[in-house]
This record gives sequence, structure tokens and C-alpha cells, in this order.
Amino acid sequence: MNRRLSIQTIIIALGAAFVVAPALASPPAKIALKGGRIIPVVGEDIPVGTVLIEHGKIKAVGKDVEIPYDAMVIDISGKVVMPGMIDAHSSRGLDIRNENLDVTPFLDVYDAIDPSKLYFEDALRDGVTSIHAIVGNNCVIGGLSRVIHPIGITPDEMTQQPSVSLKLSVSPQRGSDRMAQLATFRETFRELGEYLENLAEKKYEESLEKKDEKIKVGPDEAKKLGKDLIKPEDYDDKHRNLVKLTRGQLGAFVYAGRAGDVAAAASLAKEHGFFKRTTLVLGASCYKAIDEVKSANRPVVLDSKLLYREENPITGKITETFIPRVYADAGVAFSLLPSSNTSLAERYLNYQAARCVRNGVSRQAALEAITINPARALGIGDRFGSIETGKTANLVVMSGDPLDFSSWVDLVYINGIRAYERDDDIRLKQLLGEEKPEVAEPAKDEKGNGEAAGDKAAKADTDSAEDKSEETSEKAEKKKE
Amino acid sequence: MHLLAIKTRRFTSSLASGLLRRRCVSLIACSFVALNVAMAHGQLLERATVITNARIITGSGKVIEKGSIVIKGGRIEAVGAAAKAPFLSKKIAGAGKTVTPGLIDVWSALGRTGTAGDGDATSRAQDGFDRYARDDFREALRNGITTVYIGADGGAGVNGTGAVFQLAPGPGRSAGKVQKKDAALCVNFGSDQSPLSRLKTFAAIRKQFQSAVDYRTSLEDYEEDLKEYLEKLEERVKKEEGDKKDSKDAAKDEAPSDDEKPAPKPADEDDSDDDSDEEEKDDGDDDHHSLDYFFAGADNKTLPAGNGKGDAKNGKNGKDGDKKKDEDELKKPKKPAFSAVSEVVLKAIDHELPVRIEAHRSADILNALALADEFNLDIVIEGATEAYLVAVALADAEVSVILGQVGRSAVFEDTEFRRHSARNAERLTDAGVKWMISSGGRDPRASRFVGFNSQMAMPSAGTKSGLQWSWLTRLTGDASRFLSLSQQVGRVARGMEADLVIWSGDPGDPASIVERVFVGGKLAYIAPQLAGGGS
Amino acid sequence: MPFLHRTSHMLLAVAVIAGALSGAVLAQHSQHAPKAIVVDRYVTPDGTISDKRIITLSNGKIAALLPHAEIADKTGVAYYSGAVACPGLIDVRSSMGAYGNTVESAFSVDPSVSAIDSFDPDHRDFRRAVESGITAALIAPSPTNLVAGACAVVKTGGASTGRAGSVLRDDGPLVFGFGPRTWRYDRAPTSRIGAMAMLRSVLGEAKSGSQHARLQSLASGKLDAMLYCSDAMDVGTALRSVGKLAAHTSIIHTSDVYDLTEELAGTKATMIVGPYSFSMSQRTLSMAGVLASAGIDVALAGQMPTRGGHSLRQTAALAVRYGMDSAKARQAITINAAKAAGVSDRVGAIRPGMDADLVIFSGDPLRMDSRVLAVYIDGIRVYSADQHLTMSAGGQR
Repeated sequence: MNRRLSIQTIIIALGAAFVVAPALASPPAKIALKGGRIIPVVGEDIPVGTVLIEHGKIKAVGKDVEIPYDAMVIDISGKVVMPGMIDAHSSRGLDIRNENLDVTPFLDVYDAIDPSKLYFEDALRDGVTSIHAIVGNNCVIGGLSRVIHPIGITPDEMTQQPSVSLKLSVSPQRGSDRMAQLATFRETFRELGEYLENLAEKKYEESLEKKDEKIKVGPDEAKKLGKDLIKPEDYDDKHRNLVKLTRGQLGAFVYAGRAGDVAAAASLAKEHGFFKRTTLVLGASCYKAIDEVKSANRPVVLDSKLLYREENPITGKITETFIPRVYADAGVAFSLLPSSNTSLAERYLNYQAARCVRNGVSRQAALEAITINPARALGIGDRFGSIETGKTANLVVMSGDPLDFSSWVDLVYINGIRAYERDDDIRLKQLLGEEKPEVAEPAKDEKGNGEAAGDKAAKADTDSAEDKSEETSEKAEKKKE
Repeated sequence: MHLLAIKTRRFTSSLASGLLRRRCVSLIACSFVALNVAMAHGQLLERATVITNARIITGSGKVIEKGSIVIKGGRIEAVGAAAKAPFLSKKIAGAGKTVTPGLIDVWSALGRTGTAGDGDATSRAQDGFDRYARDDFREALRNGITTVYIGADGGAGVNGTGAVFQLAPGPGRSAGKVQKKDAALCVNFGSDQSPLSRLKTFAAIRKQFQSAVDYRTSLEDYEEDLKEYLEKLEERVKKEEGDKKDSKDAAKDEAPSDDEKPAPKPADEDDSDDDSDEEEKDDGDDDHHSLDYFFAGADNKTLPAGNGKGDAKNGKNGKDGDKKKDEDELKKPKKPAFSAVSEVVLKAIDHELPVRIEAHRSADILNALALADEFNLDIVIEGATEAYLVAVALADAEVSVILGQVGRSAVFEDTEFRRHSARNAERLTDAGVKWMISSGGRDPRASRFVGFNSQMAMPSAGTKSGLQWSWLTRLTGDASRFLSLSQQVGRVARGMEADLVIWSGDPGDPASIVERVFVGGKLAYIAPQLAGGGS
Repeated sequence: MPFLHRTSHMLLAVAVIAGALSGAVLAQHSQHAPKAIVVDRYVTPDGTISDKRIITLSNGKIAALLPHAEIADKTGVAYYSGAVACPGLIDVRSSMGAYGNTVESAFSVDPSVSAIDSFDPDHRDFRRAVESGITAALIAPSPTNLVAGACAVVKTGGASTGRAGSVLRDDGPLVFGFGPRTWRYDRAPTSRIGAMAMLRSVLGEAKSGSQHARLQSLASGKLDAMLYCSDAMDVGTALRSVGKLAAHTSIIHTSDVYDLTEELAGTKATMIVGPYSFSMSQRTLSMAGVLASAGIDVALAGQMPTRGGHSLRQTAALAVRYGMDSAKARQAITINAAKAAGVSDRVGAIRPGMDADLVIFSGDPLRMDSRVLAVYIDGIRVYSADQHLTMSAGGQR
């Protein structure tokens, strides 16, 4: 345990040195990424072109962009520049993924974001520039989420967009049942209604008191009269976010784990007035409810498990369904998620997209699924998710095509700041054997124990510990199927 | 076709030119073909489906040896030897086949998700139903089951409300339609518990009913208090108005009562908005005036707090001592905290919901009867493994039971089933206890074999003539009546929903297969043999 | 089929009544031991249901099957109108009458174990079996050993009801256990490969005459084998090792052998399938039908008394609902079960010369609404529904 801790500390120190440092340097006002292939995602690819960044925004994109004299020119010929990828739903940057209470709309992931998590370094290395930090699926109503980028040493620095959405889950977790889950929703919203009525009554009484008058009407009428007297600051912490939710002032990420939950999720959202702000987070088997998903016409975030195996009850034959294909064929725009299991290739968003293409989803749809679709689902599509003039300069320069798995992420820009450069990624070099580990002590220690040495093993170790809970749930799910 | 012909005639007659007419005929021919294709897909006009010359077991004990059934609009339009197939209807040859109503499992677990157990009375079975449990539904249909009652599963205690589902094909790959929400309140007396926890369980359940009763009492008290409060409030408002009037028309100070009554009423909440608003504004102004009057020369702003109280004290000063006291005590009654659980339990107490109590052991069954007696509940005992031991008590209380799996072994079972007897039903019949047969409400897969289970349960079935179909009646006509759905399902009769099963032969012979199942008039299942191998 | 000890061991009481006094009993209580039984239909040896027959009985055996008209003397004739006569049902996977701990696991190769030693003829299981129409049962030693010992085949009743009847075989099929239950942590073998190595060496010794007599006769093709296999892989290994030696092989306890259907069709092995419960998957329920259609002999098992008395017929009904031919299903609970138990020369079919073990059902035995009206064992009525109905079943389990 101690050993692991010390290694983690060192890793974090390293991370801080190599990843955060460039972020802190003040950026040049103008940068021109010149000569590379541009995949803007929105719009046609530009075989050779230039992206001009000015003050953190994309100033111009095109084949013949005039480069200002004072711009810092970066030659990316032979490389590919694409919008930074967006992880539409991740709890990996949080110290604890799930609060142990059912209904916690008063929480904010702000308090859980742990900037020292290795995950952020990995995300950067993998080309992810926006992360929707949100609580896990175990809640009934979880707290507020926010969009962050993987650089910065405080949650404030990392925040791109606070208060994006509330997390809701219609699927029961941990042996609980859906009946109780939905009953909890009913009770929560009923209580909210009661709270608002009582608040109205109170406000009415207060208003009379101020005017030095006495109550003239009964409680029912008072509730009506007091309704308009409530000011936004009157709501208490427990109810504030719920009120916003029901008035469409907050987004909702609603998790539906099974096909049967889709209809429940949609009707819940409709009933309580946040349907128009709802994004459906769908478990693997939800593709069976594709008709219902389609008719809901809401943004969809798919589970990282893209393949669904089903056994024919009689022949025992196993049929495999490639889930995104079902959505793509139905014309439903979806966002992909990376796996939280870092030992799988599925941890890379571009790999997930590549699998889609391999399984018959169009290249465009696959690219959208890791860039502009999540941005739109998060309500930040006007600022992120594509290379368009005026958008925030969150860019990834890859050594080759993003869907080619031999491509590396070479450069990452966030807000026009160079956040990552492969040439300076010492840990990657160590991993590839290009450079000896600087910290030798723990390695020696391990050799003494006859164990495999090196940072790689240690890293895998910490990560797998981190992902333990998720992995077991995955296993359980597999078992069920 | 009739409709079509009429339309055609009208159309053609409106055209004078013969040429045009000829063209029109070809157009009609084309449209007819198109129409036909469309009809085949059930898009344009619904064609009636007719099952011809089949043996029909109606579900109410009757057998029609050779008859036809006309299905249209999801319902049975006609039944019997004389039933005529409408023109252009889709015919299914029923010769040699037997048609029965879809079987009903009155206590099933089909399609229930999760293992559950953490809910309370507010849980609803329809929330736990998995409409995408397609394989299980198919299996059920394949054995002729079309309707299931699902309870709110859980451990010992009050677990929520059950619902009835029809295995109708739904959108996409889903199935299952809620036929009846909140069909019963589900109570479980627990299984495999120690005697001590049994006591606790029963006490806890009893307490829930008792607290629902108390909750109602407190609500009623509140309503009363509120009424009184509102009356007094009204009085006070009136009084204030009266006072105002007094002050305004100082000259007439001794005759306000006459004026007050016809006067614009206690400008109250129930009046139309405009009036009351204006009135209130006026009142407000007057109020201030009146206050000014009372506290002549005093600054409004410095006195508000004192004014409020002073008004009560001084305003009625010397008029009526008792009233003054009342005014002082005019306190808003506090509404009792809402109890979602009690709200549901009260429905049971009000006979809006039957109560289903799962109880196996004789002592539990007697406890259930006591509970029903105390709170005047409409109960049904589910499981009722040892019902034969307390059959007389059940008969006296006129409580019916729902039996589970007849063929279960008693040997290695837990304490609930230790005294299981395959002859339970027989002895309940002898004692005059009404019983239903089901799949036992725990095993989602057992639901499909409720037919076999019913055959096993029937006392002296097959040994006496005339009882040949009693196992089937029990699962169809009797079951639908039991679920208060006798006007919807469970019988092959005119006007009923078309939930029909076509069997290749005698439904009681395991070698007979289910060839087709209609649910709500829609083909919900067709045997792979008939569908051409696909499953 | 040659066996080690061909003579049937009779229990004393049964021997006295059924053997020496049977003639007298027949004469005095004709309704308990009729000379002929008249039924509307009967289950033929090929499993079909044939129309009206008179079954004449003599000395506890079936004497003849006569056309209906030929009965002259009506005394001592039992009439069951509308009923179906069926050979007494046989449960080949039963622990009836076994008491105490029957799991013997000291030695992994223990051919000397005899299931008959744990058998209690007065056990109430037998009464319940008779009520359910089961007249014979194969009782196997617990298959937790590689070589687990010899099965016993017993009748569930005789002249006195509530007591088991004659022992058909005390040296029934030799049981071999394959699968995880055989591999233990506290003694060899501990794994599948270990088990196979051990089995090969044991069978080698048996061939060279240096093993227990039962193993020797098995190795020389004179004894039957009953192979407890937990999955298809075990079935393959068991067939290739023991199956090729034994006089007759039955395979039991396997939940899924779809992949081996072809291989099994090439052998003469009997597959013992069941019991089936309402909770099983379609795939499992379809197995009996698939195997039977492939021409494999299938026997169905009810696992009395772990399962209830309905279990055997329920298994057959479910097998039929899931594709098994009705005639084959009837055979599977009668003659095929008798074959698997090695007693098909005595019981399992209504045929002259066979023991008069008969069940009179109110209808087709495969129908779950058919009731057992009467049960005859060795020509003596040991159960009658009429009488039963007058008795209190209270407290009976």
C-alpha cells in the first residue's frame, strides 16, 4: 500500500511537471497550425490547410488562410488536426463516483474533482480536451455536473462550464429494484411540489407581515397568492437544483440501463418538465428499445460496451449486435464513451470511433460521436466539438488519421494553449523504452520482491485499483447476459 | 369491399366521359391492387380475421364443437356455428383445431426485473415490469398464456401494488401492455423466518395499517380545524370590514349588521379574481385609513408591529370579550405530514384495492384473517400452502386463496412449504373455500406452465365426466372474473378483447402445440412450424 | 443381458406373500389380486396407446392380452372403464428409501459400495411413489466417487402397501462419477485429467483381473455402467473410456449434450434426462426431444423424493410439450427406464411374461390431469384412488 502510494505520488509529480507546466505558460496570442490535414467534423475535410488560433479562439480555417506576421507558425504537414475529443460522461476524475444517498441534487462534482488523478493526464495524452465530470449511475438523483478540461491544478482552473446537468438514473443499482427507484422519483417530485407550496404560503405570510397585515385567506389560497412572491434566492439548497431542473434551467443526464428503462426515462422527463433538456445515457441492451429512443429524439450517450451478446434460448447460438450500428441505422445521433478500464483499447475514444467505422457506421457519424455530438448533448456545441471559426481552440494534432490506430496524439491545444506535446511526454517515452525511468528506487524495490518492475506495472496497478468497482459491475453484467 | 364499391360508383358516376371512365376503371383497378397490398399489411383498412370451423372452448365452461370466430378491431365480433366471415376477411382454417381464450396467470412473476425487496407500499409492479423480456414472453405465448398478474415483489411487509399485463406486442421488440394498474395491494408475511421475526413481521404490517388509519384521523382533524380556522378567518375579515365601515360611516355606528350582510360579502378567495382583487385593494386602503383613525397622528411606519396586535386588541375593544379571546387564539392549523405509504394503504382500507397476502403457514393464514377482520380488508391469500389445515376458518371468513405450484416437493423445501400437499385444492373444495390456481408468483419461468399446474391441481379431474375443461375454465373465465376483467378477457364471446389461442389439438394434451396466439386481435405468436422455420 | 447374479433377491415378507401364498390371495381377494383387468386402452411396448384390452394375470405376471369380447367368467375381473393401463412407471434417478448420509467419499475408486445397503423398505417415500404410479426405482450410490459402486433396483411396493417390495437387482449398473463433484481437494483425483489417468489405470487393472470383481465384469462386458456426467465434455470422456467396455451404458445428470447428439447416436447408450421443472430453459426442456429424434434411447427421470411424486410425469409432459414424441416419452418412463436399470426383462412393458406391475390412469399418463386410479405390483393392487380418497391425508407429506 505504501509502495503504491509513493509511486502514485511520484507519478502525480511527474504529471504535474510535464502536463500542467505548459498550461501555465502564457500562450502566444496567435498560432497557425499549418500544412496539415484538417478534419473540422462540421464541414468537409481539408486535405492541406491551416488553422489559425487567435487569443484562444479559432480565427480562421481553410486551405489558404493568410497567416499574420506575428503568428507562431507550427508546421504540422503530414499530420492531422481535429477537434479535441469530448468525453460525454465520466466519473473517473472524481475521488468518489457515487454518493451513497439516493437523492442528492444539492451536490456538485466541483467538490469531488481531484485534479491530481492520473486520469486527467491520460485523457490529455489520448486527445480528450473536454470531460463531462458527472457522478456515477448509482444515484436516483445525483448532483450537478460540469464540463472540465484535463489541465489545471484546481477544479476552478479546469472548469469549462459549471452546472451543466443533474444526473438521474431510472435503473436501479446494487440489488435495488426499479419499482423502488421510480417510487423514489415520485416521492422526490411530490415533496418538491409540497415544498414549493409551503414556501409560497410562507412568502405570502411574510409579505403580509411586512405590510403589517394579518392573514386574510386560508392556506390553499395563500399558496396561490404567494407563488409569485418567491424569488430565486428563496429556494433552499436541497431544492434549488430540482426547481431549476423542472423549469428547464438545467440539463438532465438520465441513465437508462436496460431497454425497459428507456420509456420510463422519457416519461419521467416529460412529466417533470425537463425532457427538452434531457440527454439519455443508455446501457448496452437499450438498443432493443431503438424505436422509443428514436421517437424521444434526444441526444444519446452510449455505454462504452459496444457489443451486445445474446444467446438464443433454444439453439444456444450467440448473436452479437454492434450497438452503435443500430443507432446509426435508425438515424439517431449518439456520443461514444471510452471504457474506464485502462487496460483495454476501448479506453481511447478514437478507437471506439474506429470500431464503429469497422462495423459499418459512417466515418462522419463516428467522428461526430466523439466530438460535436457530445458537445451538443452538453449544450456547449456552440463553443466546442468542431473546427469552426469562432469556436474555442481545443484541437488535437495527430500523427495520422485519428481512426488509424497507429496514429499518435502529437499535440493538444486547449483554449489555444499547448497542453500536451508528445515529444515532452516523458512517461510515454519511458513506457516505450525510449528513456530510462528517472525514479529508480521503487523499481529496485520491486525487483527485490521478484515482481515486474517499472512504471508501467505500477501505473496499471493504480489504475486497476481505481477501476475495480466498475470492472466488477461489468463482469456482473456479462454474467447476467 | 362494400365501401370500396360505393366509392367507386360515386366516383365513376361523377365522370361523364366514357374515355375518362375507362381510364378511371384502370385507375381503380390499380388502386384496388394497392389497397389490397396495403390491407395485407394492415395499414389502410383493418381486415377482419376469421377462425373457421374450430372447436371452441369458451372459457365459461361451454364448448362449441364447430364454430367460427370473427376478430375485428381487436375484439371478438362474432362467435358460434352461425358466425359469418365478413367479405374479404383473412381466414384461418380451424378444422381439427381447438380455440380457447388466452390463459391467465393470476399470480405470476413473468417479466419482473431485478430481485427487489427494498420497496414499500408506494412501489408499483408496472414500474418493475420489463417489456423487453421478449424470450420469456414468447415462451409464455407458446404455452398459451396471454395475461399475467404481477405483484410488487419484496420481502416481508407491505410491498406495493400489483398490476395486470397483457402480452400484446408492443413497439419494436417490446411486449406487454398494462391492462390494469394498481390491481391489488401486495403484502408478504415473509418466508423462512424464525418464529420471532414472524411476530415482528406481522406486528410491522399491522402497524402500517394502523398508522394509515391514524393518518386519516389526523387528516380529518386537520380538515375540521382548517374549516374552523377558515370560518374564523372569514369572520375576522368581515369584522375588519365592519370596523372599517364603522369608522367610515361613523354616524351609523350602531347599525352595521344590516349593512354588512348585503354588502359585497367577505371578499374571499372563491370569488372571481377581478372583484376580490379590487376589493382587497380597497380594503387595504381602508384598512390604513381605519388604522390612522384609531391611532390618529401616529406614523404608519413606526407602528406596524404594534398595529397588528393592537388591531386585534383595540379594534374590538369593549365589544365582545369572548370574541377577542378567539381572535387571539386564531392559529393556523398544521397540516399533518404527507404519507405516501398511508395514502396507498388507505385505498385498501377503503376497498379500492384488494389486499393480497402471501402466507403459507397456517398460523400466518390465521393472522391474515385477523388482519382482514381488524381493518375490514378484502383479502386473498397467496400461496396458502397450509390452507387445507385452516380450511374451515377460510371458508367462514369467505376468503379465497391463490395456490402456487402443485408439483413442488415438500422434502427439501424451507419451512414455508414443509407441509405442502398436492391435494390442497381438493380439500379446499371440500371445505367450500374458493381457490384460484397460478404459477406461484416467484418464478418468471413457471408462468408458462400454469396450464399444467392447473391440470395437476384439479381435484378428481378426468375421473368425473363434465369436469374435463374445469382446469381451463379456472385459468380463463374464472381468472378474469377474479381479476375483475371479465368484460375484457377470459372468454370467447362477442365484444371481448380477442385474446385467443389456437391449439393443434386438445389443450390438455402436452403433445398439442400452440399454433397461433392473438392478443388484442393482433397475432402475437405463430408456431415456428407455421411461420416457416423462423423463430 | 448377462449379469453377475441373475437371481432376484426377495425380501422375506414379499417372498412369503407374493411367492408362496399368491395363489391363495388371488382366490380369496379377487379385487386385490384380480385374474384379469379390463381397461379401455393400454400403453403398448412401443409407447403408443392401443384400444380396449383385457390383461390377464397369473402368478404376479401378465399372462395374456386378450381382445375385449373374449371374457366369459366375470369373477375376479377388475373393470376400469375409460381408463388407461400403463406399465408401472420407473424412476431411474431416485434416492427413495435411502436414509442417513449416503455420500461415501473415503475412496475415489470404491466399486464394493452397494446402494442396497442404505435402503429402508419401510420408508414413507415408497408409499408416495406408489400413489404417483411409480412401481420401480433405481437407487444409485452417491456419484461423488470416480467408481461409486453398484445401483439397486427395487419395486416400490408389494403385497403390503407402504413397504417396498422385491429387490429387482442389488448388483445394478456400476456408477462412475465424472465432473467437478468427483474431483475433491482432500483426495485424488483433484482434476479432470487426474481423474482420467486414474480411471485408465483402474480399468487396465480390471482387464488384467487385479481389480474388484464388479470392475472386472464391467471390463469384460458383463456389467452395465451408469455414468454421471455433469457436462458434454464429461460425456465424451466417459463414453470413450467406460462406455466402450460396459454391457450397456446409461448417461445421467447431464444438463446439456446438444453438441454430442451425433456421437451419442452412434452408441447404444441410454441418455437419462430429467427431472424437468417449470423453471428450466427451453434449451434444457428441448433436450429429451432432440435426443429422441436423433434415435437415441432416452429415459426420463423424476428424482423422487427430492422432487415430488408428480415429477416423473411432469418431466414427460414437459418433454412432449418441447418436442418429444408422445410414444417415445411413454417409453422413456417405462421400458427405456427399465433398460437403463437392466431390468427390462421383468418390468417396463405390458407384454405376456412380464411382471404384472401396472398403473391404471384415468387418461393418458402424459396428461397432467390424468389421475392414478389404481396401482398393481406383482398382480396385487397396492393402491386404489377410491380407498385413498376415503382416507385422511392430513399430516401426510
